[in-house]
Amino acid sequence: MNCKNVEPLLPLYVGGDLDEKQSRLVAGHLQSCTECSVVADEYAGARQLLQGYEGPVFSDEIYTRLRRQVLTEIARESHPRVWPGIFSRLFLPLVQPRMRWAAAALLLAISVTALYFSRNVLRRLPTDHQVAVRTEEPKQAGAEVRSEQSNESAGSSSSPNKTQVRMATTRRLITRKREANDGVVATNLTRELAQAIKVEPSSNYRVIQRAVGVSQPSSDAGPVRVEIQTSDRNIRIIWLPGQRPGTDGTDGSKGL
Amino acid sequence: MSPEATIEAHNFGVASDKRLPEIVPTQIPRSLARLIECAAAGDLAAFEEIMKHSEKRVMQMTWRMLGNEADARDAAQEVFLRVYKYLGRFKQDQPFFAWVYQITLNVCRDIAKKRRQYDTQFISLENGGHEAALVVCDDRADAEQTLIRVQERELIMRAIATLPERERAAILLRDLEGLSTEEVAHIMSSTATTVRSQISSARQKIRVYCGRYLKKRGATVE
Repeated sequence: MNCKNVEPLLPLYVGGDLDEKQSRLVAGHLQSCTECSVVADEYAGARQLLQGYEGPVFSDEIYTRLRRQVLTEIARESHPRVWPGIFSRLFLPLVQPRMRWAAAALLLAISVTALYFSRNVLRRLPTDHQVAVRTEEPKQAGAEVRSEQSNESAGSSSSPNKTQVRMATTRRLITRKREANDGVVATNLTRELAQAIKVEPSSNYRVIQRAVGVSQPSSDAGPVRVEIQTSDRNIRIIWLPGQRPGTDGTDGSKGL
Repeated sequence: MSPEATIEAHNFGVASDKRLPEIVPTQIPRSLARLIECAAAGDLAAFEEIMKHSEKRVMQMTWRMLGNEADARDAAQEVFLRVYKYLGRFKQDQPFFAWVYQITLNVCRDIAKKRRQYDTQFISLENGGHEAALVVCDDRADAEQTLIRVQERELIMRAIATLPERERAAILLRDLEGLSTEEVAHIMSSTATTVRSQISSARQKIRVYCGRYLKKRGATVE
């Protein structure tokens, strides 16, 4: 056995980690090789140092405190509170490091669902400022629509192309509100409008308009002014329900 | 827990010597087995007895692995909590202290991961922890011997701190706890060959680290 073979075995030799045959070979080599003996002595010295490495002596107080803490913790865990237990069972797995991807995916799914609902479902519900009005789809945009609205103002209510709104019902509602509240129009006026304003079903209707403004004059005698923006930007219906319909059959609506 | 078990508990061969091959016995003493059974059934007094007989080793091991008292105490607490928690899964035919060491190493690894300042703390906080020991030494030995001992301790401490975690665990269990290579392999869930390789590597590194001091000391002795 030469030095090259012996050297890697020396760390194990000094610790008695070699089998009997290898130990004998290394011991034989060390008797004849001064260099390897010096290295072996260094290994032995280092091991001796390591074995002399005593840890600190901890006081009995530390051990007593340790036992007390452990037993307290065990007692606490063996009598868990009911609600935190249920909540932790439900949500604790999600905050574990290994579950962070699942938690992230769940949050993402919740966010996407919420976004979907806010964009598609909730938008359809009328709010105080939204009124669903169906208007007949104009066959041509622009001037033609304007002319239709003009026709409506002029009293051609029988025309199949004009906006068909059941105004009478709405007027009754507003009148009733006035009587009850002495001229104060409730904030949900437009919601009532939304319920009241109906359009005859037809296949080519456009939906979702917006009540731009409902203004209430200070005196009871003044007219209420309702502005409804149709889906066509160029058409806004201004309705003055307090006004008497024109003698020519108009109902107070104006197309602008 | 019966009084008989309490009395017998003091005799299950866990002496406080530094290196004891019998701390990982192949057969668990009957008294210990009984304590384990009682503790697994929820007997806290029995578990306290188990703690009393293993706390010193656990604390020493956690301190050597983590390098400071605060972490060592936290780790020891966690070790005993896990021991109690999983005591029901412990099989009586396996060595109890090997199992405890296994848990200890896992806890130390977890804490070291959490702290992320493993080696820094090992060196920096260690010095503070030795002041008490220094005073004790001062009473017994002359100043020069004490100084040499402190120097050696610091040197070996720093040498251990340079080791990778698994090598550190292997060398501590083998050279300080006096376990056999097979026992260390069992504790570390590894093979004897791997453990031998880790021990060899660790000894080489420690020798290199302490080489200058050892040469100097050798020259002084000669």
